[in-house]
Amino acid sequence: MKKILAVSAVLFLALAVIVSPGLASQLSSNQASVNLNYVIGESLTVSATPSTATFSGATPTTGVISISTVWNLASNRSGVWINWGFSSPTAALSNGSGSNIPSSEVFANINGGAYSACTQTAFTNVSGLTPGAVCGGYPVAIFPASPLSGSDIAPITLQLQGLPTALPAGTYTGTLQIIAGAI
Amino acid sequence: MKKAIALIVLGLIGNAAAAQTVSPLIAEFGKKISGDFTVSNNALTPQAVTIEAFSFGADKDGKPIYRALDSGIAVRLSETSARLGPKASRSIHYQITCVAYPCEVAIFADFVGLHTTNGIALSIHVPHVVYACEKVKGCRALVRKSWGLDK
Repeated sequence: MKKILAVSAVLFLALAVIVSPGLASQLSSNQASVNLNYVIGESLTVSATPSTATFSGATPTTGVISISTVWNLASNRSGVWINWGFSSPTAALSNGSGSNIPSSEVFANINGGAYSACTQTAFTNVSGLTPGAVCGGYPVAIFPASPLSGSDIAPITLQLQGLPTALPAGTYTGTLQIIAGAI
Repeated sequence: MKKAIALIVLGLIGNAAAAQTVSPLIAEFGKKISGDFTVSNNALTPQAVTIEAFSFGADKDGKPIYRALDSGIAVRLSETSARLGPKASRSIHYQITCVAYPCEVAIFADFVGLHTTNGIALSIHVPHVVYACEKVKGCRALVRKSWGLDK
């Protein structure tokens, strides 16, 4: 019996010696990886509030029109510009019966500043904004100084000045063209 | 109470910002010019949008100067006008052929403002800009250098 026990013990120890290096070693698989890809597209959003404006008062003036620009651009862009004005220097507003208010008699200011006539020439010949009928504009962002993702609000007010006293009675309407862009 | 809330909501909609988005803003191509951009009406009211193409350059400060489409450039659009519902988007597909390269085109989405019977309506114009060259790589940079920018 003792012999059997002794032989068993020897066999067990021998087995332990054989098996233990295997147990101690680490099994390793190939390293798996998953490539992740998420594209955030560049975008430019422009809005204006309110959507229409009316002139009122002794010196006909609109309420504040807030033009909001929100951009999210890639790192190698140069800037975002905005301009606003009318499609016709001779008829910024019209009564629909042949009587017009030229853009030279429509003045605009920004952020409560000085009024200037809508006779500038920026943003030539595009989408209804005509040279000589531009009210104003500025770069809302110039990169890399400006953040690539940001927003800007331009509070503008329009005013009619120098209207001829002989302007026929009627309701005069027009459309303010707002252009924003990044190239 | 319900009436009051409805009136308030209608009032808000009437004065709501007509927020419009164009994405992506800039695309570069080789000689084969075929792409898409998305116009979105973020407002709670429907918006009419018209699409039109212009050529453009830049002044010394990099400010875009748009002009009528140059001769030798032809732009084919999947649609030239659309009506976007509240919070709706539309993908516009375009194909452009140019006689000479580089070739730059600004495709404007013109969001026509609400009609007004008194005073001023507002209309918003935002372009998707396309640069095309003999080779697509570095096309925009090449064009900007030709304008005297990014020396």
